Amino acid sequence: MVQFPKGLSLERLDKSHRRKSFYCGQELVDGWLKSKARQSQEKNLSRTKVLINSDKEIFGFYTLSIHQINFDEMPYELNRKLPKTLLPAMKLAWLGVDKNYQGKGLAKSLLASALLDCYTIGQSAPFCAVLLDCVNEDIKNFYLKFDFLEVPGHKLKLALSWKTLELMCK
Amino acid sequence: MPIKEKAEVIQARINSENKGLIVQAAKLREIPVSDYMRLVLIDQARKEVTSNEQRVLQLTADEQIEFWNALDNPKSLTESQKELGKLIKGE
Repeated sequence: MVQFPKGLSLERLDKSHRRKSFYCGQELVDGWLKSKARQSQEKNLSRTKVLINSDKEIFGFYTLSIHQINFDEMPYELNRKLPKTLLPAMKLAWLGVDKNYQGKGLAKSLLASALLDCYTIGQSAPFCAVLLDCVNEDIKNFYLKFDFLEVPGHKLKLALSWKTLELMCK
Repeated sequence: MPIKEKAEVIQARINSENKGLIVQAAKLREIPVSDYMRLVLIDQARKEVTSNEQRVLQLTADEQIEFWNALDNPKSLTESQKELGKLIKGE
């Protein structure tokens, strides 16, 4: 289990959490948490976990969802190894840390926790990769520190193969 | 009387090899290059937008091969991945 600083705990997002005061400096990320994350969760399209203190103040969060990767144009010699052409993938769709608490390693801990969640899911429902959407080049550089793969043809998408995740978690 | 929609211009710089390829493909269909661009590019763009809404990552044929090979043949863990792994395991 990923360790967070004393007094902070990770919970599934709910009404009681103080979303309105969260500000990470990225408009898209803030907008997601404030107005879309709960709706998406209620529709069972994604799950958001928030790192909070006892006052329900949100220090950081991440959102996971399920996606697919289309491998329908693979040559026969590769294609025949695949069970099907649409392969499931987990997606770390959003991750943010409040501006007041940035630079304390929380993003790295939240990333570790998100990957642990993916690994746990992968024990029961297999997938081929964890995909990441980066909102800009700075965010992309943060993930590249951990040697995520660049998704060909998609400038701000990165990935971590299941095989690599498994090695990291074992 | 229906209102005629104004045509927009879109420009892109590509190398001569790729231009030659597009011209060749248009010739195969016996249509002008502009019609070929409209036909193929718009269809591909529509497919990618729809796929994104349906949460499917679309890649071209070459990208699929490159990506699959990277996923299927991972390199050994780097130092930073080992560090992240320790954090995941709570070490």
